[in-house]
Amino acid sequence: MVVPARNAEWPAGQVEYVSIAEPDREMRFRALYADAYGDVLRFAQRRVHPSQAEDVAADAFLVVWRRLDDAPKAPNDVRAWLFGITRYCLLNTRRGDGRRQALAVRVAETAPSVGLAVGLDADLVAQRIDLAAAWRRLSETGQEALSLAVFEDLSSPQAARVLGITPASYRLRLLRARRALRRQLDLAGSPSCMQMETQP
Amino acid sequence: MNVRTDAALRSLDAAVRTLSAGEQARARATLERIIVSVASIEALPPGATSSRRRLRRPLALIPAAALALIVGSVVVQGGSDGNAAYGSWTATPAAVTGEDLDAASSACRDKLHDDDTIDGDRARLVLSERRGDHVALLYRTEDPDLSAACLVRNPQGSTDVDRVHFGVGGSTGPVLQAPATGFTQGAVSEYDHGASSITDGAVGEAVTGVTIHAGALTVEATVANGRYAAWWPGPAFTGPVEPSGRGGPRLALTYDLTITDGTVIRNAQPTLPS
Repeated sequence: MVVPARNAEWPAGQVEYVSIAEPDREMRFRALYADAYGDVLRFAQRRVHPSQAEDVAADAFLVVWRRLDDAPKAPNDVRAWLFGITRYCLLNTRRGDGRRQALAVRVAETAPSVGLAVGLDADLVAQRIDLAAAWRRLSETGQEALSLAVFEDLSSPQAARVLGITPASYRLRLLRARRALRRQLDLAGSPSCMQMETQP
Repeated sequence: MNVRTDAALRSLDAAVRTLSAGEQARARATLERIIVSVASIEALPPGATSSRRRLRRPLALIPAAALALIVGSVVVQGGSDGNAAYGSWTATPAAVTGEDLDAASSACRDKLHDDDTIDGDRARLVLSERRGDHVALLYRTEDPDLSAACLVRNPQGSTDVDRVHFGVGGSTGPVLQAPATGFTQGAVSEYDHGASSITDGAVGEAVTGVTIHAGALTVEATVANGRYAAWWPGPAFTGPVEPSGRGGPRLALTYDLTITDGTVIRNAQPTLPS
């Protein structure tokens, strides 16, 4: 495959090319990238400022390219593998903050005026505000465990793979995170949220 | 029991469900850059590679070796006039005088503002040098970490400016600081089948001089404002112009640093992102 050199400002110049071997490998990478870039970008958007998410995704896919031979075969396992790489990249770049073991997960801002302005039910808006506030009071470990199940929609073995722990350990983390979230909602004293927790 | 909570949480998802047209375009561009840059990583000279290095996303860099400080990306621009155009070149730079600087910077500013990679309004001129009939200007933005190198022909004392060559290299990551007695290797560009090359990077506060060995040429770089830059009438890479395989051409530069106390560090190795 050849990639044209771009942005040439050389007068009357002709663009030459850098050629790259291993076409099969490149095709596999391109297919994986096409399938999974959005997932990886969203994974990053939840964990860093939106302006940095694309950089994170690029960092992760560079590693993916170099470790492509290690990619699992099953699509869902591939997602978990990609998230694990992305998480490692994030932890690695943040090691200046101390030896981080978990990554905080952002949730959307919930300004009451916004919801009311677009006609949302006031109770629903209040629930979202309480839930967002409860989420932010969770530990990073708790946010991470919940996010992998809720936002990334991974099974316990897959989520465990992302975190580099056993499925049993992950299930325990998830259980504790759910309990902690429930406690935070209880502390918020919002009947609507507690009701939300107890409804089947 | 968790179903409703999970559903409520999903309504708070901070991620955007669908990629915008801009995100899709940038994703495609990133894909191409990754593929090219990985080939180039393996083209770095011994000691310049590290599995622990962190990729910083390259921007539209060419003709510079993208991924400044990281990947000695190899992009060769075509051209036709060869070394004959640089007969007046000098190994030691001279200052660019006022009117010459005005003329050169006017032409380069036009390129800056035409380029969509670097913010031309924020880019600051940090370094200029003259070697014979050619003037090189280096513009910088620190955030993002981008360098725009502009090389023009401008005979001394003349307001004539032509042959404007312009390229941007860098990353969206933070600026990598050079240690006091070290340097970072920034973009390396090679033009016209190796007829000329240009590079820049950061130097530590104790570095007063950078000498670049490019094949048979020894080039005294201009050092100012924590940066160095130099261009020379020759190649920056060895190996075939159109490399085959993932090795690609190799960077053919070595660096000597002069420290404030006069010490010269021979064959200094660049600081790389950790």
